[in-house]
Amino acid sequence: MNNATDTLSRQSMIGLMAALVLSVLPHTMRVPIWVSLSHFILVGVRLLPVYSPLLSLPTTGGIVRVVKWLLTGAALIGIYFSYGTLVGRDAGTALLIMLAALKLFECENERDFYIICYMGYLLVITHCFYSQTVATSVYICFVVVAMTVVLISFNDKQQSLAVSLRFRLAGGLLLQAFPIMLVMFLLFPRINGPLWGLPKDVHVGVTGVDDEMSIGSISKLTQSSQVAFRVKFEDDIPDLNLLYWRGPVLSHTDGRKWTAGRSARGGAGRIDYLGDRIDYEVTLEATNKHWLFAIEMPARPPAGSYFTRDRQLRSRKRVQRQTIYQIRSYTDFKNDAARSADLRRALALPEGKHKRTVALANSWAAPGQTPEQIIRRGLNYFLDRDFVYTLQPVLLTGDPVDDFLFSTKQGFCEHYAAGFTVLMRAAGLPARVVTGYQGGEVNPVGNYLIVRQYHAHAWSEVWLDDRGWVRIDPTSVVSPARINDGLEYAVPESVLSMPLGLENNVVAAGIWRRLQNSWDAIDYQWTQWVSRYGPDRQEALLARLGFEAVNWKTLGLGMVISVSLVLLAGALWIFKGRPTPVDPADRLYLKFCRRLAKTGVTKNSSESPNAYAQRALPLSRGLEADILAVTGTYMDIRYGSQRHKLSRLKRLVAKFLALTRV
Amino acid sequence: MATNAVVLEGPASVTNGDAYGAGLSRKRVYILPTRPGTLYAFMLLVMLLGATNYNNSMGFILCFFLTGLGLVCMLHTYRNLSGLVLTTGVPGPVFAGDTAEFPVGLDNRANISRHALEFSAATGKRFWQKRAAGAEWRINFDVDADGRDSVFLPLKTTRRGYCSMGRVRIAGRFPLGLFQAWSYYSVGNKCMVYPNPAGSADLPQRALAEASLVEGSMHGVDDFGGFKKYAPGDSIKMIAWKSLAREQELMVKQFVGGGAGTLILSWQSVDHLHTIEARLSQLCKWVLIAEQQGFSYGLELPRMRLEPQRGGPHKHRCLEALALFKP
Repeated sequence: MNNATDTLSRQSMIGLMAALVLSVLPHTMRVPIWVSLSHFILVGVRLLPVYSPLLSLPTTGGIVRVVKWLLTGAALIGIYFSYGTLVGRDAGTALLIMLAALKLFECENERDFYIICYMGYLLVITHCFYSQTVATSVYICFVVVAMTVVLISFNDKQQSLAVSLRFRLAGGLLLQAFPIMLVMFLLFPRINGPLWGLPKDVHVGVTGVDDEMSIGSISKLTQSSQVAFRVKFEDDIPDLNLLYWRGPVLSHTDGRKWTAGRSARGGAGRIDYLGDRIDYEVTLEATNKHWLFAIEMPARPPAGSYFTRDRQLRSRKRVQRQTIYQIRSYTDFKNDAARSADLRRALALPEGKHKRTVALANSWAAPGQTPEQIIRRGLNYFLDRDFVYTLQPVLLTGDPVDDFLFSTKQGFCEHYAAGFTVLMRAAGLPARVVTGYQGGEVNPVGNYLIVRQYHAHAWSEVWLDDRGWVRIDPTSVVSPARINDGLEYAVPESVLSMPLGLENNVVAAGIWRRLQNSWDAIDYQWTQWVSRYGPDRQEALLARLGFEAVNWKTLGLGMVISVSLVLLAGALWIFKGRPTPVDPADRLYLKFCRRLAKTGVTKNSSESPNAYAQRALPLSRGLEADILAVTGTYMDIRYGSQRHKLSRLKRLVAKFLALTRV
Repeated sequence: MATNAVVLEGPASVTNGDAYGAGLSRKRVYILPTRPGTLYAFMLLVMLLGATNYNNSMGFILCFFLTGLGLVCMLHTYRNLSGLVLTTGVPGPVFAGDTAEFPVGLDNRANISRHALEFSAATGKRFWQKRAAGAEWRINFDVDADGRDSVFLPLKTTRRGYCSMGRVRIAGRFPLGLFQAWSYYSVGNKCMVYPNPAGSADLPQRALAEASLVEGSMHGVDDFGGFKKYAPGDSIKMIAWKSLAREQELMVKQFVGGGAGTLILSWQSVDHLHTIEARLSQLCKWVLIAEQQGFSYGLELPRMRLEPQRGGPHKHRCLEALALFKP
């Protein structure tokens, strides 16, 4: 205990620093560069004396203490400046990273070592606040194993365990901890957090469909293959061309941008459902916005959400984490409840914009033209003039709609939707733009639908007096493949889902696709059962097991009992008695010895059978011959390899036991 | 004949004594969290609060995993110690002031190896108190599965006579250091401590003078002088092994010439010293020198007399008499 470095052996320190670096690595993307850089530099500086005593830094002394305080102060100030606070997920993580590195220089005794280890464990948990995917979990497991190995190394004072054995021991310990974890995870009473106010940084905005649309906003989303939501259908997955996921409805335009406009009051109004019924469950990723996506038209809003006047599904609370909801939709509907105010808004066009478009539309709106005919003319306009559906259209100059309709004739879904809507409005038909997603990608492995950001879409809705709001999708006219088969087929070069070089190899593409699908299916299940396990799922699970309406006190008690039972089972298994020797001759001889011990002469474990017999003879009173016979036969079997005498030994021992029965 | 084996209490395995029926006395094994262990619990609480507040499922999983790890560690730490069988051997004699070494036999009858256990002096310190540095000794050891080993526990001796170790503490924190399991063990056998040899290195004049008068018994080391039958007490180094191999009796070689003679070390010869301990120390030193120089020496104390002889066992008898001398 005199020299502190003896207790903190070199191996332990190196292991500790390695585990610490491992736990910080994934954070390098998330914290400011100076934080991670300083951490690694500090660790490197600390590592030098371990390898070469010449580079040893002084660890005591006034100057050193001042330097340490200065560094700590600098770290605190730096973090405060980067985040504006010292608490919360991001600032807290950065603070932990810096403090752990600085603590390495204050590591004199056992307590300091443990504190750094615990900081390592806390760093591991900070990963959970950023990502709860399967990949993160696997990495976390690995880091936990590493930290446990470090603790084992520290406690192995004689260094008698090889490194591989330490890993095995750590793995064994964690495996044994698994049942306890499972029981606690399922039964620990969950409260709906937060216990105190959450710092503001927890929920960061995510890319996705927004409540305003301008040229290029939807096509920008095609660059992201991030999952927007996943859908599990009760029956077969419907055809892709039926899957219009209704999102924000945009009624107001200023000539360049479409926005939702002033929010309309009142409920959604009446609607008639006509088509097929589809029941499904949506797992929506966090968007930090309010809308929920459903196939047109959803029948009833799930709990905590409501329909807006435009029949858009909005949640009362922001979707700040993964949300799961069950919903039912009908593919055909008659949505004809509208007020004149709505229709007026759907006719408004900005002053002085889109002159040529307005002129063209006016030419269509001759008296006697039915609205259906006007719509047909609008759609035919796209068909007849070789319009192109592309992700990279020529840049629009001047008036965007005019330029698109008359000059460039190239565009993506937002161009077509906007252009068509303007045409309809100019022709006197109330129309509006609906954004959202269209179609999706079927994952055959899990038999569910994945809708990604690149499925984002925009289409139109036109008001017909006898039929109400009717969906018209101009994209379906120009690029039917987009609607029927998906973006991957309509514009293949946009969707880079394969590593470079493999696109042309069909077999590789197939394998890659299958791997991706399997991985996504695992992730989906993981999401359902692990990440989203909360009070509601716990209740559902307990109900399925037959426990209804359990309050948290009973649940807590149940958990404690279960954990104790698991521990007891573990203890029994760990402490189970040494198995009796398998060799039958040994077992017989053991019985003999135990019986003979009752005469007062017990065999030492180091004594040979012969010596024991010699010792026992004087006290045996008439059993000499039997004792010698048993001993002799046993020695022949054991040391003379005369296994055929086993039956004789059995007889002799049985005889001896019978003779000495008291 | 019961052994003095002691087993540190473990359930199931060695409940009724060892396999051959020997009785084993049992000692309780205690277990409590260490300071890092309580810190660990605190860390878990922080994790739990964080996970609850952010409603983070993965956070819960990690927290529960580490809780389970701690609980499992408790079982392992207990098992690391429990079931170990300890036996004491007889420590070899030492001189006062030296460190006596008490051999303790370790018998690991389980099929797992035990690591990072340590013996230490039982100081009666409470677990929340810090360890006093320096004053104590620690012996760390490992025992393999199904293995035996022995350690030597040190005890600093100050006085002559019998000394015993008393109680020692055996403890371990392996594997994670979150819990400490410990037990107490009474080291049974006593150690013989001879008086510290001190004083003049010259043998007493009177004794020497007498020695030259008496016929030398010719126990020298120079010339070979035939064989004689072995009598217990003769130096083992002198045994003629070849004659034994030839299936004759055990014979001892004899040497003649240059014998140093016989002398008697008496209580009177140390009269000039004032304390009993000083006298005993001087006599002790003379015994050692006499043995070394080949004398045949005897010891004469009040109420006791040892006839002149030489050899290892005789030396030890003399030293023992000196050690146990009561005025």
